[in-house]
Amino acid sequence: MAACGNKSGRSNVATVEMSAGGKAFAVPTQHLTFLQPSARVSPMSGPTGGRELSVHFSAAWLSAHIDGYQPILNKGFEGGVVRVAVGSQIKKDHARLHPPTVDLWFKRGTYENRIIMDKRESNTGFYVIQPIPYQSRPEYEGEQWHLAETLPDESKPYPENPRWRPYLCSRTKGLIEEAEVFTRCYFSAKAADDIFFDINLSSENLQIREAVFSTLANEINSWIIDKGANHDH
Amino acid sequence: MTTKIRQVIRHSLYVAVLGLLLMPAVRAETPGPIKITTDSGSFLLPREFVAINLWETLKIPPFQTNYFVFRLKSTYAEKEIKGFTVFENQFDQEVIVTVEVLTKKRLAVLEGINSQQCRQANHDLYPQSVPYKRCEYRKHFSPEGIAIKYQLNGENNQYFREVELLAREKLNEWKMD
Repeated sequence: MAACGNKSGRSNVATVEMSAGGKAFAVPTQHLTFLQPSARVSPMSGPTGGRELSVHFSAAWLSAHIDGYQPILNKGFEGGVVRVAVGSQIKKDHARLHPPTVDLWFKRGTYENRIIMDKRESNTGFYVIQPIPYQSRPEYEGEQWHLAETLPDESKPYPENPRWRPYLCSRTKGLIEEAEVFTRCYFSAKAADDIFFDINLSSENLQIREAVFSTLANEINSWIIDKGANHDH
Repeated sequence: MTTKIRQVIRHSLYVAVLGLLLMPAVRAETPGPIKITTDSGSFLLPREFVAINLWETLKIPPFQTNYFVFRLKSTYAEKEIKGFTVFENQFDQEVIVTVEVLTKKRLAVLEGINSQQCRQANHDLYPQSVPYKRCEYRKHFSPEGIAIKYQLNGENNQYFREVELLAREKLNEWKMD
C-alpha cells in the first residue's frame, strides 16, 4: 500500500491517492482507516506487500447505501475495515482450490466427522456445517463453523462452476437481552477481474450480503483513477 | 547491570501506578454531547442519543462525516409517541436512525425518497428464532438536504410517521448554525 497524501477533486469529495497492485485509487478521506476513531483503539498493522490497502466503511455509510442493512447489531456497530487486494497474483490466489474447502465437501481430513444441518437457518438463510470436534481458538469462547448456500455432498464431484463456497463463521454469546448467540462470518468478494475485498458481516445482515458486495464493489471501482496501469509488484 | 534492571523495574512500576491512577479519572469523565461536522454544518448530539453506550465510542473525537447514526431509546419514544411499545418479541425496541447529509451525487439517488419496505424477519436467537414484521423507512427532508433511514418492528410500525417527525425534530434541534 502506498498513500500519496495529495488530494484530488472527485465530485467535491476530498480524497487521498493510494496505490495497490499497480493501480491507483482516489480513496475518499472518510474511508481512510487511520482517520477512524477505531484506529486509536486497535490500530491496524501488518505487511501489505504493495498489493493491498485497508479502507473503512462505517456502519452509517453502509446503512445509508444498502436497503435492509442494520448499522447496529448485538449492541455493536457493524461496518469496519475492508481489506482490498489488487493484482494478477491475487487473482491467481483466488482462482486456486482451497484444500480445506475441498475436504469439507468430501467429508475427509479434518472434516471427516462434519455434521450437516439440512434445514436453512431462518435467521441467516444459510445451511450450517459443523466440524466435529468443534473448532475454536484458545482466546475465543465461541465456536467456529461454516455456513453455505448449498449443502455439500461427498458422493458428487466438487462443484467448480460456480465453485462451492462455504463461509467461515463464528458464534458467540450475544449481548442483547435474551440473545443466546451472535453469528459473524468472513467473506471474500470480487470487485473487478483483479480486485478482491474481504469483509465481515453479522447476524441479520448476512441475509443481504449480495447487496453489500455489489455496493462495495461499485464504490471501490469508482475510486480507480488509473485503469491503464497494470504493473503488478 | 543490576542498577539498570532496577531502573527498568522502577520505570515499569511508575508507568503501572500512573496508569492505575489515571484510569478511573478517564472513565469518570463527564459525558458531554458529541459534535458531528458535515458538509452542511454541524450537529451537537446529546449523549443520550448517541447510538451505542460503550465507553470506547464515547471517547471519539469530533466527527467529520456526512453519515452518522443516532438512537431514540424505547423509553424516550414511548414518552414522545403515544402507544409506542417499549418491549416486544423479547427485544427492547429502540430506534436506530441513519442520517445522511446529501452530496450532489447522493441527492440524485435519494431526492424525494419516501419509501417503506417490509419483510418477515427473524431475530438471531439460535436455536429458536422469533419471527416479526420489520419495516424500513427512508425519507428525504428537502430543505435540510438530509435523508434518513430507520427500521421499526411489529406493532410499532403503525407509528412510523410519528418516529419520522420525532427524528426530524431532533435533527433540527441539534443543528448548529
